[in-house]
Amino acid sequence: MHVQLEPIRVETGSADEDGRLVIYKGKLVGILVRIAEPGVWKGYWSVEWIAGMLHHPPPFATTGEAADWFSDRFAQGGLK
Amino acid sequence: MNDIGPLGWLTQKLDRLGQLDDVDRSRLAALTTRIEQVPRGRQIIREGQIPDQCCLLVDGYACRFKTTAEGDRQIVSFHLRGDILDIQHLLLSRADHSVQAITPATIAWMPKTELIKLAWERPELGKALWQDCLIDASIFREWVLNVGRRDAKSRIAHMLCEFAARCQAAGLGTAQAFDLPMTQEQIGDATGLTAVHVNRMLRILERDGAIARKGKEYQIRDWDLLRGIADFDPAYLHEAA
Repeated sequence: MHVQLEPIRVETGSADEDGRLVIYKGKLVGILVRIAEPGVWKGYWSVEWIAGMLHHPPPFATTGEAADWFSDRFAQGGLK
Repeated sequence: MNDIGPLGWLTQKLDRLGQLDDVDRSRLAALTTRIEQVPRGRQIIREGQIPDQCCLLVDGYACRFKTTAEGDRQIVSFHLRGDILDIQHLLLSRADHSVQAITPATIAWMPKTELIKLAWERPELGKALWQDCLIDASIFREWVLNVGRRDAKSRIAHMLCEFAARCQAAGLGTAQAFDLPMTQEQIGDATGLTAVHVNRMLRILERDGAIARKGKEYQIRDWDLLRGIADFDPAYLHEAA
């Protein structure tokens, strides 16, 4: 696994502020935020930013699933 | 179905655009129509199709969209009753985007050839249809600006201002109170945001006192505030609002 997650607080204008920097092979490739606001996605991890991509997948149930997604995405050549 | 007939809202809209006379109105009313009820989510027109009919939205709501090769969707416009969903097919043969009902909807199919003949024979009607097309294009240009250059809160506020203004023009609620039929995913597809972020922005607009909402019912509580956040100038809607 080439993905590391580092805790960071993120400004989203909402209670969703528990974040993770997603680092792939030593480079920042994304930011995740845990959804704290009420709703169907509460507790899930929302992808707030992905290096060079506008495609945002639906929120992930765990950081592990998110890390796998980033790993697959960037193993295929990274930026598109 | 509403009580003014399938072509009633279209006639009302074209009346606003041109100076139709009684002959124009009766020729419009005499157009052949095939009414179809479509469920929520049904794709009414598919990109690549070669339609021989034009599709008028009689009741309900629809959107036009395009997709990337990876399947990501961009909604390029929302539509209300009285809108012809593919007016460009009068003169362009192949559908260059898709159309979907976002609520249960009633549509009226009209033969392309009949509509073209009418537009040629009745200049005021032809002019009104042309204007309708040009206003569509103006709205698309504003949407490019919205998606490309405005921040998330402004994008959502702008979409709400436009929708409110168009609902009022279509006799669906007032500019202060209307139903917003789209899901947050659909708003996200229209504004280039995630559904999660759409939800946040709606909460912020509510917290700021610009809007109030209860399910699909929306109220604009402070038009000046919302318009300011949205950078909304209705001039681009021309006679559509």
